Amino acid sequence: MRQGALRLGVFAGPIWGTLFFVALWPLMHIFPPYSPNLGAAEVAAHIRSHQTGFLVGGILLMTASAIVWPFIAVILMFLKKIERGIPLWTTVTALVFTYGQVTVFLCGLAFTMAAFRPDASNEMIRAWSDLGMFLLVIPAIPGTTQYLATGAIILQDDRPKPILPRWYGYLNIWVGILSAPGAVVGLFKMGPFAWNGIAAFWIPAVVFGVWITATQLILLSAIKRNALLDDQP
Amino acid sequence: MTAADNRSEALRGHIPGEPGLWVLIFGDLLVFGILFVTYAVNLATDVTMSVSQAKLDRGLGLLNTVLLLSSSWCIAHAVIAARRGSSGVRQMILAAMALGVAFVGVKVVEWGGHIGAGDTLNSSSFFTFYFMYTGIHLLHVLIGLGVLTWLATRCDTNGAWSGSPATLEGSAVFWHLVDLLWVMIFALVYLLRHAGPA
Repeated sequence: MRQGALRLGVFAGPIWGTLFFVALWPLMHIFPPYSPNLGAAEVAAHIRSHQTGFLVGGILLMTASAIVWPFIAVILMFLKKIERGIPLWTTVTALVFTYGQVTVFLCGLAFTMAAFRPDASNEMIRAWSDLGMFLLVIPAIPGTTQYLATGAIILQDDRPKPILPRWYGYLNIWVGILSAPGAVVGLFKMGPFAWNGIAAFWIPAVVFGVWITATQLILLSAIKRNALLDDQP
Repeated sequence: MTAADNRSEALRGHIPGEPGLWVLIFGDLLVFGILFVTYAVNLATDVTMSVSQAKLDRGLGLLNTVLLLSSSWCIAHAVIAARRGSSGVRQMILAAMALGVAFVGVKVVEWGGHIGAGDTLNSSSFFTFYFMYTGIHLLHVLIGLGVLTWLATRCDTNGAWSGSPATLEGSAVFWHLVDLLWVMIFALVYLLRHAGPA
């Protein structure tokens, strides 16, 4: 079994996370996000003063969406192994992962648009930046489907020694439920459910951090056990 | 279960359901704790909250509390019946489901009334909290009803439990969580009043 190749695949996850974080934090300075209440002139001034940061950050986000696939593929291989027979929910998870990463690509593209022409009007710049912020937070909607499907697959595993630990299945359900509030950010410009609020941004962000860390750990330990070659009935 | 099994379980303590489930239970409680504190801080600092809060129908809130508590009681009795090996498990699960569906029905009527009166998701800070918190809770209720439906299909033709005890127990624990969260929401959102200068 090519454990080395699988392990390498898992590391696409932290690389994705690092690119994402570098883009948002030191380059674009939108972590934590600015208030949706900010005026067009203030948003445009922020983007003009970090123009190169936004353009390079946009490239990093788009790159992240393109190099995450080995990580996702390793997750899917384990899910398919657990599901056996007709891998319905693994296929659902794979499709939702795919469109989730399209939103990451479009997020990078929207911020690139916002920063591309600093001489554009303040309103135009803010509109593209708004789209970028929405693409950052609202994809919690497909995320919820993906996490619940993953959780359901893992909890279906009836082997005496499960391929992936059952607590990780429950963790996915927890992450799925708590990502859902990201869906409503279009309704609010302030308060806990705005895109910089505790319920729509901070809780999903922290919970996602827990998910990606736990996912790497359980994948590495399953690879070490050679769980893909497991032959339990 | 043999006497020896019972003794070893008594020594290490019995974990209802399975250990992994408690990642979800405590994780959810932790985050709801943060949400509840956020609400309480807003209630204490924003005097406009209690004006909107007065529009809530405590009667409907109480009715829903009674429905969910009774539903929890039914699922607890399903677990007891399964432990006895009795045939009444499916009946109790179906009763719990019916009460859960009634909760959703009351919620829909209640939401419909507020929306009809012009109080919607983003019309005031109080109604944002109200709709979002009861909405996140409703998501839990719907997931729970899905789990209960699945449980009902796992009883044999006589209505006795045919799956593993941990599955039924774990599902019951989740249903109790849904209940516990509702009791907290009822107390905080419906009952707790702003204690500022009157």
